[in-house]
Amino acid sequence: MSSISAPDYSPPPLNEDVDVKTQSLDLRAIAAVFWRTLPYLRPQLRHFILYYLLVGFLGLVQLGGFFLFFDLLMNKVFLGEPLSSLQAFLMGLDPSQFVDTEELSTEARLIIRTQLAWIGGGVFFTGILLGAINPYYLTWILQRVNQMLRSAMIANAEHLSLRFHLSSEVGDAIYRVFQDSAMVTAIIQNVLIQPSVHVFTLLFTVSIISLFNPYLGVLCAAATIPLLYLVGWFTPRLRVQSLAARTANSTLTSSIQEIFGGIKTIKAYAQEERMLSRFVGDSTTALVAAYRLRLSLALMTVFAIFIMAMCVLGAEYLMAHWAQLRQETFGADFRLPGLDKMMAVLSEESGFEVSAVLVGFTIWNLGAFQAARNRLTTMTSNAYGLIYVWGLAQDMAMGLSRSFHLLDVKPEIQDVEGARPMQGVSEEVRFEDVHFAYKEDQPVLRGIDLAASPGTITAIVGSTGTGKSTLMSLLLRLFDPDSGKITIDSVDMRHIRIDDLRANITIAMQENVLFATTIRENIRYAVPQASDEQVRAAARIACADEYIEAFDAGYETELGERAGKLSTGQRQRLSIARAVLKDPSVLILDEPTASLDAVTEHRVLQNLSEWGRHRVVFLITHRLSTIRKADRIVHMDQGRIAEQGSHDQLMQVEGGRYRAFVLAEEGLKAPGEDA
Amino acid sequence: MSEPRFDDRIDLNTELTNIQVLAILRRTLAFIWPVRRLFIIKFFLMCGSVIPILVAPWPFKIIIDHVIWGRPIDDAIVPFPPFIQPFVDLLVGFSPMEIMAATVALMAGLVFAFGAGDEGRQGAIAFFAQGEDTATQTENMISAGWSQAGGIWGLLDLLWNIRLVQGVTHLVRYQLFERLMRLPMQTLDDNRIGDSVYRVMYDTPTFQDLCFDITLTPSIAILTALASLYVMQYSYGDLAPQLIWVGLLSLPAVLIITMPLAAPARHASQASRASGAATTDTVEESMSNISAVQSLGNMVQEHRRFEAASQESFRQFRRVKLINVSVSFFVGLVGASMLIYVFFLVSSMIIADQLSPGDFSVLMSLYFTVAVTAGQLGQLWIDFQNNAAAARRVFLFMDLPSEDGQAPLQLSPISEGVRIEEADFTFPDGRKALSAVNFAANVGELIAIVGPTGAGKTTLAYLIPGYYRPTRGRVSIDGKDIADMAADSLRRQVTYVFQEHQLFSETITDNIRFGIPEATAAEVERFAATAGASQFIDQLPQGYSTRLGRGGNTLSVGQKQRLCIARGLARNSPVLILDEPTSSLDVEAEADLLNALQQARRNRLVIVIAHRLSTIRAADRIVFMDAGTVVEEGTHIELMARQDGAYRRFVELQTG
Repeated sequence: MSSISAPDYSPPPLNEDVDVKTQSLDLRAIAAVFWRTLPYLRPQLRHFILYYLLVGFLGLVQLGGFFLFFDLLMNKVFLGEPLSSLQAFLMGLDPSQFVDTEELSTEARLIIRTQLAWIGGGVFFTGILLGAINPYYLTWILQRVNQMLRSAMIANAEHLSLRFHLSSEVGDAIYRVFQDSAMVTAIIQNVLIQPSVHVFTLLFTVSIISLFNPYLGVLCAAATIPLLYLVGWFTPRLRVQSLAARTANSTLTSSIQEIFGGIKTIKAYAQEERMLSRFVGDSTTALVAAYRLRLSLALMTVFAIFIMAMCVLGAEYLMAHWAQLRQETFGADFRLPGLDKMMAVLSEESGFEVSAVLVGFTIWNLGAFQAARNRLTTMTSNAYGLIYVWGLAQDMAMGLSRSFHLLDVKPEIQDVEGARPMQGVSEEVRFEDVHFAYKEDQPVLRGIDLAASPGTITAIVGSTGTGKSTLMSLLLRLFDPDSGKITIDSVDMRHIRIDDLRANITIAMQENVLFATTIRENIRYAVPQASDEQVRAAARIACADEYIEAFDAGYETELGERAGKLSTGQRQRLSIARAVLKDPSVLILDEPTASLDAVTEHRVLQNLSEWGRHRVVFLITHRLSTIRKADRIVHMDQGRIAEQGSHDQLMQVEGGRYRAFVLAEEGLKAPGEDA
Repeated sequence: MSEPRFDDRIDLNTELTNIQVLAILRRTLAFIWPVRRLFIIKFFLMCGSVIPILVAPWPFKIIIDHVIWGRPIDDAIVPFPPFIQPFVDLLVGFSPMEIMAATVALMAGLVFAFGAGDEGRQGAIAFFAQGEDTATQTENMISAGWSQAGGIWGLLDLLWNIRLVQGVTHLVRYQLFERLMRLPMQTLDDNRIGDSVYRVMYDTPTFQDLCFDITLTPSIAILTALASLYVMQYSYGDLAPQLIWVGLLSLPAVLIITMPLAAPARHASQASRASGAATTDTVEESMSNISAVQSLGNMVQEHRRFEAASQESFRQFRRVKLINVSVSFFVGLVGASMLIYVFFLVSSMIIADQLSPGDFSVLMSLYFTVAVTAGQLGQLWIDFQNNAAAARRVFLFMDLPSEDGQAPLQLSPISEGVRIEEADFTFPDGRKALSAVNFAANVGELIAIVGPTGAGKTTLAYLIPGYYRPTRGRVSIDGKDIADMAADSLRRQVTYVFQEHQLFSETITDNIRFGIPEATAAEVERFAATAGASQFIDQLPQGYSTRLGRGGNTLSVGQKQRLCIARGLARNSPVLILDEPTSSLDVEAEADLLNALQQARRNRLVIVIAHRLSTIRAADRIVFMDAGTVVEEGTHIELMARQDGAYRRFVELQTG
């Protein structure tokens, strides 16, 4: 493979500082993060319960089945010992042949063997079946949990104000919605079930071990001190590294998204190499971060095993010593007083011997050594499991807090209580002393007063960056004014329901965004239920029908990513058609015709003014031919309205800015002709 | 079988045959070669991780037999294996507690080295929690770390594992990403951004899985199975030859049973990935176009769209899961029936005193190993299908022709001009955009391409930097056909300023010097001034260091346009094409820009696509297009002189 020429992938360095600020995420904050997942888990409570019942049932069947199985097989079938009365009863065998006999006959052994094969087969089958159903069921439950969180995140993101969106990256949102939110699925298992099981088993085994000899208990307790130190040392590092890994991967996602979003420019400027190295850089950073995180987890667990193994080895040495001396065990006859009596009664009643002896060994011998050693093994593997899960929890907490971050950003623009519906515009749309800034120190609009009534076209003109588009976006409540107000029929827009507002006011934008689907779907994007006839009518008004029908697939033509297959003029007409189809009471055209030729533009405007007879139309444009068609012209400068009036009125203003603009545009002297 | 398409527009034929799967596997193997050193060391580390399995039982046997039981160490019933014998020799003559101390010391050493020494042995592992869909599970896989051993060795093995896995993933990602960027513009128009993100991020990591699945996993599994069968043959081959046959049969049996699931597994994996990509794309599209979404009041609808896509991707993942659990179910059935057969056979022999009870556990555990291994191999075949589906998604794009093709020719500095001869251009969907276009332009000219919307102006201009390749005719620069030129070399000399204003989330300075990263601050400011951008940049609190947000932050369209023009000017290339550069500019800014362009044309060719009369009039020559062909050519005055001229009519309507 000589064709592979990747950059050197050098193993990441091990001890470089992570350049992420240590988060002040203490235990309480982590707990709060997990607590917040409850609302997403609760709806699935029934399913979780059923799932764990199934798991428990499977465990019982397997455990019980095998206990029964091995005694019967080893002692009865192989060695020919008689069955106990309970066993014979359960298996429906004749006690005279199977219980009250010195040794089982070969036939009897074969009968039991065959029965055992059935039992074993049954246990196997149940195990295999539930072993297949359970994980599938769990996946189904967890997906529902995740879907709910994802969906909430997207719902919030869709409603967040543009101010938020303008300063955040798309790839980051993708990463949060998919990767970070997925951590919610691991909560139940890793934060609830597993730790509880581990802690319970741990406490239980340590008590049993202490009953063998309290010194063993003391030894185990002593081992927890270095373990706690170890975990305490690694915990903040795990959090920081988890955050770093997530941030790095999210940056990588953003980087890929941005590069493909800007691919045209990259190609035009032959910057593929540079972008490739940026990608390689981001990818390497992400891989290194993931590597470091895993290194920490592995180091923590390996060290934990060292500590625990030392404890176990020390214990084994002591146990061997006691076994040598055949010392008595501490809990030789330790019985729980009440339980003991109960057991005795039970034994009498049932006829089977039941014992409440917890330790079962009175002196240290081979059996005691083995038994105690088994307990130690159980203890270490549970302590290990607990520490491992703790490590996972740190990563999950980081992921979830990133998810919740997207939920926590409250939409700046929300319906106020008792917001009113909106039914068209009957009188006027009015701006009163409106001020607005994207960033505090950069005012964009400074005191706008403006009114427009139905049946009029208001042209907004002025040089680039004077706030024309911003003014119009306030009308859609993409932003709210910092001071002043906008009223519709004398009602403050802030008291109107946003959904209603945006259903009644629509915009055909300068950068006409189309979606990668068919022409038809794009036109009826905001009105999905629109009929084909309505779609065609809207396209006719926008003069888009001619070119659409020239396509082989007509309205079914797929547009490609960001509608890359259409020319700008074609895109503009589609976005006008889309706005028209919405049948709004206020239509804003933000330089929608900039890329149309004069003939087409003329026709589009003709159609629009006819269509807009009862509507308020705002028009942002630079083109003189377009401006002239307006009823009123608002000339903006530096965030203020410099002049307003009809074309003729404004042309009267000697030395007026509009007049100067028109004269320049009419090209009394074309630029450069004097050069 | 027709699969749902999930909005794919390029990747339409997703079917694979078993033969194609094998071809993909073979191709994937090639990715091991570049990381062969890592791979060999990993293999060595992996083999070493078997050591604790071999060594661990013996110290414990010493403790039981020679410490607790107190048997003299030199009187063992079973001989110790040679690797433990030296240690045993050392213990001769020790008291039991001394033996204990020595053995504990040995075990401590083993714990440090291999994490072994006790039954509670834990291999080193570093898997993090993951979600219930393909993408999140893949993310975990990229940096998968595990080792059979623990301790220092296990740690090394684990870290090596991560490096190897990351190395392969990085390599594949790099190649895919590069190829995606090098795809022709027309192909990219069809490819969704979210899909590219998904393929690069989540389809590539399967390669390392495939690499391991083909090499390390099966060799170890087969070795284990064969070793178990060998032991069985050795000890029980004469007594019960059926045992061996049944064991050997299990391997093909598992494969035969899982075989019919192979195709569904492939489909499910492909569908899960395609639906994941579609979901990613929904988020991408709706977040990128959030202003359109909000201004059209479609927030709820977009939210629903996402919900549906996400629901679908979860559903498709469940299909993958369903196939996986079915595989384990069927494999489990094979294993269980095998075990029950052995149980019958062996127990009969024990009852007949042909075998001892001790043999039962030996045979059952051997069989268990064989059954588990057979199951692993069956699962492996299904995993192949899953991963092959992902690998296909990667290879598909790697195999698409790149723009460069076989065109190694480097373009020498342009001195004459551009010539387009008899060029036709037809879109793949059959739309004819250009027919028999002839066009020539020389260095030193400022040319305006004019014409009604949809006349083919942009398409014509796209032919010059080779974004589109003519379907007939030829495009040449300085007399050389651009079809023979490397795309990079061509585009270094031809700058195109698009109608859409794509800016990057970098500083304004970096955006302007995008094409020439080495440009100085002074140069950047000069070009910004020429493009009429300096005024608003200076008003920003951070000036040229202002970092733009997504798609240009709060800049107005006109401001973005100016930055794009500055970026184009900064490149100083011999050919400069501006697609409607003045549409959003006010009159003064336009005049400034046109002045600058007239200055610039002295030593270069400037082509402007324009509607605005004031812009058009500044040109030396006007090329008037209509319906995909050049209708008239000449200066403004010449063309206006033509009675009934198309251009004249066009101008009259404009000023009308």
